[in-house]
Amino acid sequence: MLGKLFGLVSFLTVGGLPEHFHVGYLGTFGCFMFLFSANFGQMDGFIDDGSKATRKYRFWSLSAPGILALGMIPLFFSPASTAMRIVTVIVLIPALLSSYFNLKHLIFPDMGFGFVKAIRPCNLCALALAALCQTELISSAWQVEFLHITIAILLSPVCVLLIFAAERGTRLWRT
Amino acid sequence: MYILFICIVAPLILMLFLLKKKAQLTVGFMIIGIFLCLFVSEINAILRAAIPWSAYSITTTVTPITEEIVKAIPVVFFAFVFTDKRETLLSISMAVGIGFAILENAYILTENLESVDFFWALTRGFGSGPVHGICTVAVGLGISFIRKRKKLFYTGTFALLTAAIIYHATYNALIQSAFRYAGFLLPLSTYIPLVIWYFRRLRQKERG
Repeated sequence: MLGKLFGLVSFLTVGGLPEHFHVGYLGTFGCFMFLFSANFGQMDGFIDDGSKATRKYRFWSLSAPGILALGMIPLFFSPASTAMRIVTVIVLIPALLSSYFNLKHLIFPDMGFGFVKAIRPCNLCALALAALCQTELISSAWQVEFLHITIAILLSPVCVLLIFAAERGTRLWRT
Repeated sequence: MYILFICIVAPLILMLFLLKKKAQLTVGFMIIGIFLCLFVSEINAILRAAIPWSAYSITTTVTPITEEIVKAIPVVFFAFVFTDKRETLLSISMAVGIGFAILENAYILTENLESVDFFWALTRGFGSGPVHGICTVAVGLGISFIRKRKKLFYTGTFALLTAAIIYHATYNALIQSAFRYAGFLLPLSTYIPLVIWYFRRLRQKERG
């Protein structure tokens, strides 16, 4: 959220979309690194036992990073510089990694603990966040101000919902 | 800048020998902060020469990153080697940030003697001073929390540094724009709640 606030300040003070790397990108990178770390390090071992019976969920979960990767194609045709494209790809890599686990924990069957069901809203918000952040970065590369501003406005309620969903999920996990 | 550094640091070093342990720690970290400002100024000069961006882009992208990373190093080192007690980390983090701001302000003053005025002094004194302090305090306080949670350590440390960098960059962006009054209010609007929270915590500890 701080990164988006900086993006807003930058837009208001400079009067246009960024043309090179700025510190707001660190916020997006850090957010998805945290989501990936929380999913992979904390929750996945608890939810997925790695058995053959649940293989199909792991397979279908690959569609999330696949769709996000395909969504990056317009970036390579944009007027942005090569350096900017590389920076955008690097910033979105944690989002791709995190989206696999977000979709997996969304579609995975609840084994009776109720925890998977409790964190489904959180995973849905995280997927929406990844899609919106990617669209925002690509609109920035194409210098489409209207789309960039619309996505930035949509990101606010998604971030707030994610916080509430994560808090609710954590509370239910503890009980 | 080296002459300024000696003029400011020499009396502080002489004073160190006459202080009690806790005060020695605080003043010692203030001296470290002053030294780090000197060190970072050289790094920033090299980066400024190497990166072909405008002064605005350099001050809102490059310098917040270098300064916050360098200021965090002694705080993180202290937290790992000596103690991660919250009160101690709060005071030494603030000392590093304020020490950094002291040399930075003094240097900028000497470079712009003809154009400085009372408002400039207020902005630098009550603006950039607390900004540097608050950014380092954020890292120091955060380290005391995440150090105990091993799984959160790497992403947590990155998140703390990122928050400090973005806060610093936002201040630099605002203060150089038509919204400089918002930039001036930003550090005070963060510092005052921090101080209130600190005194409330101290009072709670005294009661029970």
